[in-house]
Amino acid sequence: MSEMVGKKSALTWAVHLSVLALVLLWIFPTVGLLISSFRTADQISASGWWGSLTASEQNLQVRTGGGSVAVKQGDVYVVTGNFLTDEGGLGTKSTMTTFGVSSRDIAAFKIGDTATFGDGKETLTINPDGSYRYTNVEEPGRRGARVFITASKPPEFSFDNYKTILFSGTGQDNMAKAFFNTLTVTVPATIIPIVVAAFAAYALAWMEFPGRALLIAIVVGLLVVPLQLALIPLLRLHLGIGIGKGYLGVWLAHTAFGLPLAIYLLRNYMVGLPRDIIENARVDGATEFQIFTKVILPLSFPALASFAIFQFLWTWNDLLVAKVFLIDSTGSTTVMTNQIVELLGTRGGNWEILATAAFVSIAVPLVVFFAMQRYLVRGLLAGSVK
Amino acid sequence: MPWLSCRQPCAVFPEETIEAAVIDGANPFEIFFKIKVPQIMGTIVVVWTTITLVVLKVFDIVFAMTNGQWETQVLANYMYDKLFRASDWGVGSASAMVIMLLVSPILIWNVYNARKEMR
Repeated sequence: MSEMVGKKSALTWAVHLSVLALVLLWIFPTVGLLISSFRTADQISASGWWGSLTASEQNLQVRTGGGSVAVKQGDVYVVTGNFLTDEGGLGTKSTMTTFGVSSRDIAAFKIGDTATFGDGKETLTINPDGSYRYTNVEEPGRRGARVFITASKPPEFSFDNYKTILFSGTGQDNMAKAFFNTLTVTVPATIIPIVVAAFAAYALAWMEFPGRALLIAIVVGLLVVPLQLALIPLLRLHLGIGIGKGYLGVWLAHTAFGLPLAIYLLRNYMVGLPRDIIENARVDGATEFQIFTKVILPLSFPALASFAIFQFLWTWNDLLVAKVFLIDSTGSTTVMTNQIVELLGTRGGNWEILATAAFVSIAVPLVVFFAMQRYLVRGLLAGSVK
Repeated sequence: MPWLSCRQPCAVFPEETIEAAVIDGANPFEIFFKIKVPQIMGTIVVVWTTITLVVLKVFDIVFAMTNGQWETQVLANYMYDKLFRASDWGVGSASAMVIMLLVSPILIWNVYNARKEMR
């Protein structure tokens, strides 16, 4: 504002700083989520996502070879191998610092030392190159001895979490089905209200009929009515007329809950269109339907697009309506939000799975938002400037 | 959406009032609090009530994070609890009515304003 009067004010900086703070507030969790979704559970428990580019100190548990690979040398059985290069080991890029043979003291010995344990019957030596030598007076069991190693592992990113979430194919962890279910809910639940609301908004904006003002007042009132109010009657209605729980029911519910805002936004926009255009069309002999499809609809595209984005985001992120009208006891129609809530229960400790699931679910809204955001701003502003 | 509605009146802000204030020697904070804020008070109230309504109906975050335990129960989650866990449709309906009761002043005010605008 102050540029207009020729002087940059100190307040401009305050505005810029607070915008920056808000942007960072949104960016940080999202970036953290994205980075966490590429990390393993061990990495996440060892360091935060901001430390993902540096090596992290991790406590890992490995086992020596078991009785099947033991070789008897004199009085003792000997198992040799390499903790870094063997399959299931730490990986060649890790650096080991300490190790232990009991969960009570996992850093009892330095790498290079020889640990004696098990009443003096067992010894274990680990060399810096990862090779180890384990001896036991008795024949070792099938699974070998448990060893705790503290190692610093290099940064590592993988798509493993996404493979688990999208392609694992086994029930609970698999989001692919929920992803398509969400799409099945969202796309019709966005298109149906737009079609209905466009007709309604045109009538309320440009057609004279008795009771129009009352209808507009009702729409404005419905804007603030909480949808919880309609849950019970609507669910009873759906069960009563045989729709039951399913996609049709959830489409109708989303349509009903989205209509007031849709009609309100579109009517505000259409009222702002120049009266001359519509009157010219009338004079030229266009019917109301022709005016609507050939004049009003193309001109209202920004408002239609901005409402479409709103409705899409809202139905995509919705949990309550889906839980009430869609998801039945079989769980075959679960949506992503519900799937994530269930993951919170079953995999509450597995942050890497949760982060990946969350990112899969926000990916589509992000794409939609960035692709359409210029319509979002334009449609809303144009609709409200009187 | 709230910030968009807040931006809109700022974009069509009458420059004359600010120019007059600058000439009278107002500092930026005075311009903001004594000139701009009073002029966009209507929008601020609208945005405020909109956000209040959204928060009043909050369900999914509470449901996913605490499910109303540890004294974090909210009306919407309480209602869901009663409806689908306790199968107590009476209490569920009652809590829906409580939410409605809380928003009805805003509803009446909204309708009143809309009618005034249309005349």
